[in-house]
Amino acid sequence: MINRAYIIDDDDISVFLTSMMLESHLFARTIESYVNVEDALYQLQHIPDENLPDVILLDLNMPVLNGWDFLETISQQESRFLGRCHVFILTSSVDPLEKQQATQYKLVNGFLRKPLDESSLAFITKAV
Amino acid sequence: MGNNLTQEFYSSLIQNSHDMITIMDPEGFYKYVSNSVEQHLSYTVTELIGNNALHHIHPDDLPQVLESLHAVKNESQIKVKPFRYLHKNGSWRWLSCIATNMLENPAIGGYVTNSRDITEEVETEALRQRSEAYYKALFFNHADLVFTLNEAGLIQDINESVTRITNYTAADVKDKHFVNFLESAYTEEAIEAFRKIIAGVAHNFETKIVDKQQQILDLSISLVPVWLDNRVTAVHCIAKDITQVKISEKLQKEQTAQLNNILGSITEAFFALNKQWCFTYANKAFASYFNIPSEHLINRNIWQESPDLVHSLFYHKCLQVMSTGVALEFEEYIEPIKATTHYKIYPFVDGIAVCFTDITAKKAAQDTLEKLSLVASKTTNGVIITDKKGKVEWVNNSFTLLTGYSNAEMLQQDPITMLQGPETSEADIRNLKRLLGLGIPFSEELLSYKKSGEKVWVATDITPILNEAGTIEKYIVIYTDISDRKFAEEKLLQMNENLVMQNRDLQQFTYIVSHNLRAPVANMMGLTKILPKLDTGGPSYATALANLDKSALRLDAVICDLSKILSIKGPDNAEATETINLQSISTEVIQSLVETTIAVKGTIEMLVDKDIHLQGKRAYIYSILHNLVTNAIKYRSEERPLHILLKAEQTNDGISLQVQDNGLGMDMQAVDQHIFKLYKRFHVHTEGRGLGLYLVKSQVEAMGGTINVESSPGIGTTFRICFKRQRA
Repeated sequence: MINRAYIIDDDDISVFLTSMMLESHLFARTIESYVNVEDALYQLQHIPDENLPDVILLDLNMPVLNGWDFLETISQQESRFLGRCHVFILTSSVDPLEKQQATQYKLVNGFLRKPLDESSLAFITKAV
Repeated sequence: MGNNLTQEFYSSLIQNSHDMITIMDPEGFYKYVSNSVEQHLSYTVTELIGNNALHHIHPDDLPQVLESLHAVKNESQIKVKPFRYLHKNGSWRWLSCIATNMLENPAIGGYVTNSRDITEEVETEALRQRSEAYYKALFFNHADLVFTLNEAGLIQDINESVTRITNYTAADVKDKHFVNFLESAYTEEAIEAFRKIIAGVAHNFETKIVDKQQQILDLSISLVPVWLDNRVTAVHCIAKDITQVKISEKLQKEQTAQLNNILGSITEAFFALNKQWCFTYANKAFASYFNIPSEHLINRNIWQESPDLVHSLFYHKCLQVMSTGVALEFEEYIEPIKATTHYKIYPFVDGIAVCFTDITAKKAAQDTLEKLSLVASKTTNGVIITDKKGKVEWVNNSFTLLTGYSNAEMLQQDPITMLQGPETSEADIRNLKRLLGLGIPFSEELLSYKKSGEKVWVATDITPILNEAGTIEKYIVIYTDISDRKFAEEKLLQMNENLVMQNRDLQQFTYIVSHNLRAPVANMMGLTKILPKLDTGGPSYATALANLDKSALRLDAVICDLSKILSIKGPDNAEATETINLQSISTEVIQSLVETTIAVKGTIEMLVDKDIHLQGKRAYIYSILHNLVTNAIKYRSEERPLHILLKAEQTNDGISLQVQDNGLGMDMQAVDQHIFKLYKRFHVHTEGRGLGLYLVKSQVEAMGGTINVESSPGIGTTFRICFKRQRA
């Protein structure tokens, strides 16, 4: 069981579903969800390194700042997050171009399709 | 002698004396004649006795004889000048005579004459005198230079001509050696000539001398030896001044050489025939054309050399020129050598001169040109022929039909200047001019103008015609109207651009739609999966169920959006437009939102002329205005009362529609790329799926308009829509 997981997604239903899945599988001790990127980023900047989440489940398609903007921002402090935070993209439809684009970020550990299911969870656990 | 000599002795002496002795009375009648008369003059003694001697005297000599006869009366003896006496045979004999007056001697009683026939001596003397006169005439009065050298080569005598021609007097040259007067280069040759004449060989040679004025004279000298006692003792020299002859000879030689050079260098074949039809000259071009050395032809009769020619037109023309003396030219095809020849025949004093050129190639070129010009005049393409400077020399009928400019109007004009117009690309013209200078054929397409001002797209195929030296002589321009193709091309290009744009839109649309369609589906899948695991009485179950319901509604909403979008993007939407009064539709939109506006304590100001009409789709205009006003209300600022301005105006370009608010505003740098994109949202805390502006843009574009936005955070946002002036 990991210590902390973030869900960043503007879709409230999706957030509800994902956190239900994580909770029912006792995935993390703490699950925090953010409906916009700004809030998530603010949080990450203001917590000590030991409180950083082990897993971030990131949606791409969000208003104002999207998932890519989030990745761009945290990649600027890559060394702080690398090996500590494992980002998994969780999106409703998988575009091969986007999947390709995601591989450019070292912090991204996987590209998952909604809804989050058991096999995806197993993949995350194994990767972490 | 003693006195003892007898009378017989005297008588015999006289009778046999060789001299003719007579005794005559003072009147001249013979009293006595010696026998020797008969021997000299053939008269017998008896024939003469009693006759008068004066009857036999030559009439020319008679006065002088009479004078002597008269003179002897008072003298004892006189010598009569020689006179002519008639011989019995009728000839005249010269006699010398001494008359002695012996009238006082009774034994004689008359004049005694003692005569001798001296005819031979007189004639010899006359001959000698004549010879001397001849010699003198020959020597002194000779027109040529005559001088005498002695055996040592010293000048002995000169004639007047020497002085006249050389200015040397006899004193100047007397006893001087001849080499003193020679031009030094000729000395040796002259000495050799002198040796030869001393050896007795008469001969001629040419040399040069220097006269007293230091001028050089050319002389041709004949040397004649003078023999005396079996050896040459002197040399007569007769010299002709040939200076002028030499000069003109030289001049003539030069002129002949020059003339030969000129005639030889004429590239036209050229020959001359004399009146006997023999070649007197043939130049190099002639010789090489027929491959016969011209020397072989000289003095050969042309008709004997080439008997076939007698049947030619050339033969008849030659006869004509020879007889009329009038020059002429003509062309003839010569079967044996398969060539067309152009002849020019000129008469001159000694015959005729013939120039001829093989014009087969030229003729063929001319034929080709004629055919080409036939093609050029009949073709439906415009054809322009210009000189090397690009000035028009000729245009064909089709050009006139295509452009409206006649041949006369185009003549000497620059076709580029004539045919370009305000929309012709400067770059195209520059490129065209650059290509013209290269001397290679090329094709260019450019926008040209007819005389009427009508635009026409043309393809020009330009071929420079080069001369043998490779420089441009002419240009041939084929002018083809490609307007139909070009305008179709332009339309196609525009269509293609639209297609690319639409395709990009479509890609984005597909992506967004698939994403947004799947999002609720994914949620529903997830929810149905966890629902069975949840406690039906627990709070999570109720939430999950409510979420399932919400997801279904969202799916429905996305599908509704899709159908809206598809109705705009659908294929036959450009058709069926209507005239929309912007004032009335604006009023309608504002009315529909009046309650909402009041609820948020906002105001809407409308600045729309009642006359502004737009050709388009009423539903779209309504939707556009409704969406923009709704957005303005939705993204109002809580810090100030909302004010919306809806403005429509006629501009130079067409119609401008504007919706301006004083709401939240946006950071344009962040949103500019995305604002009109489907399902893009820029405000976190408000409702909205990110469809409105996408629809607005799609509808504006479907009616041929454009939309842009200006916004500043905290100040407000302005959307501007432009519909370009619609075609009548």
